[in-house]
Amino acid sequence: MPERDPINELLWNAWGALGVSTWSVGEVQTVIDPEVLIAATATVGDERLFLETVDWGILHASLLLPHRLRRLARETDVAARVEGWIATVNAATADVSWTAHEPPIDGFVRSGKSMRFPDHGPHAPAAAALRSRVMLGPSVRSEVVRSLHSVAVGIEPSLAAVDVAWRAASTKSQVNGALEDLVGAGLVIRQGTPKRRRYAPQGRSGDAIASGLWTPWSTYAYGPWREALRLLVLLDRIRGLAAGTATISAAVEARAHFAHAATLLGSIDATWTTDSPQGSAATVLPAAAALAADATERLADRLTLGSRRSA
Amino acid sequence: MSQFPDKARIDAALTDLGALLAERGAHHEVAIIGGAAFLLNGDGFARPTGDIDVAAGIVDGRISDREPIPEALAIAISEIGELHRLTPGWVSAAAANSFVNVLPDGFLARAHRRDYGGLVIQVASRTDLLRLKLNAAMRRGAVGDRHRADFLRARPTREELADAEAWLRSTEAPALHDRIATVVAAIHEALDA
Repeated sequence: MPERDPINELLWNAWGALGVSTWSVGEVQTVIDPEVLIAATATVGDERLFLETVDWGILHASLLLPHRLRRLARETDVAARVEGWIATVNAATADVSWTAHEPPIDGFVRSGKSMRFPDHGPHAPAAAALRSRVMLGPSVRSEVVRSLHSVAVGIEPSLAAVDVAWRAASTKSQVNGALEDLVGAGLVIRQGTPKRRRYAPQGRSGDAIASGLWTPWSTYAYGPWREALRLLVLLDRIRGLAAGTATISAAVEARAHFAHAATLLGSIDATWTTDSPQGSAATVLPAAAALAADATERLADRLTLGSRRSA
Repeated sequence: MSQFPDKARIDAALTDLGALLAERGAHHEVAIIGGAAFLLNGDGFARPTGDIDVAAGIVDGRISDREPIPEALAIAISEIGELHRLTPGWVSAAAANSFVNVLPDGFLARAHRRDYGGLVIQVASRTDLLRLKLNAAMRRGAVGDRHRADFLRARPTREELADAEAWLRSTEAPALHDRIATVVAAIHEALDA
């Protein structure tokens, strides 16, 4: 079996939990953000996995949000690649009618190995976002609800609309509309002052609708996939720089990426504290690569909350 | 903060700075003075220094009155500073405002050229460092005392002191010549001690 780098191991494990055929599956005990995973794979995933995700996308097209995927892809500079993904899925299934801005992936052949909802028991939360969309429909509203997952599960007390919009990868006006509907329906509570509005799930005792909406999100573990997207890109770039020629430009870039990544990882994992590597190119690049590998391991643990097992 | 205890530490930072500029296809040339220049000359002046003082930029082999640290160089300085964990002002052009118009004639001809890839450093000669140091020692108070101590730390000969005094008298207004005499006398006294 070829050895995978830690980032691709994480991606393969996550995709395995969502139904992509993979020989190495680690446990994923968190809810996976499907569009983030597609964008991350398009950016830092290996080619074989990327093509397998198209196969998976064809099966799950009716539950996906191409507009959201496009916004995420722009963040990581893979807009054209993701447009190819969207076009290929769109061309292969009658379930959706997406607008394609690029031609389908040249020569793509379906592997047919992916499964739909491979494991949806109560202790397998990975596909919960997709299952939720089966009920609510893939929409800004489904993403607003899911964005409040971290609040429902008690990680943070509330979210500002701008944070919800960022997690939902939607416009603030779309998110505000959905939030106001949810507030009006008694499913979300508005807190704070008019200038500092914050939102949290509302589940009054005996409210069956609210209970049905929020119980999953207060049950399943939160994985900061949205927060991890940029981080995965930075860690992958550090790895690439360390594998290349040991120039001082590469060392400067790797150090800057690491400093950025350390800040992002610190916001996800409060126990993460480390100094950026310093010194000459010959010392900084291997040090940055080692730190990035450590950071990737920690991130993978935080994202999946699962143990890894060999094939 | 004395982040440059010796010549090797200065050389390491400047080597990476020059390499970074070269990789970017950039080339800059500056003249430096002060403690870092003494250390790079390696003539016994051993006081650690906190920064590298740029006295002027050099364009087409001549001292320029333009900004001695243009933006591209400033960015590279900042990046290498972060890489080597140096304070933000590790290369400082603060001295340029004070000295660009008073650098002794023939400064560049006497300077020691050091090539660091995309960066050329013209290190002030010992003669000019002592002249400028005596100039700085003219200041009153603690700052002047510190520069006078630096001057002595360089262990100048009587001839070097006389040269520095003569140059200073040639550049300063007669009204300041008494002050020069006072400072030079104090240095003579310290050398005799």
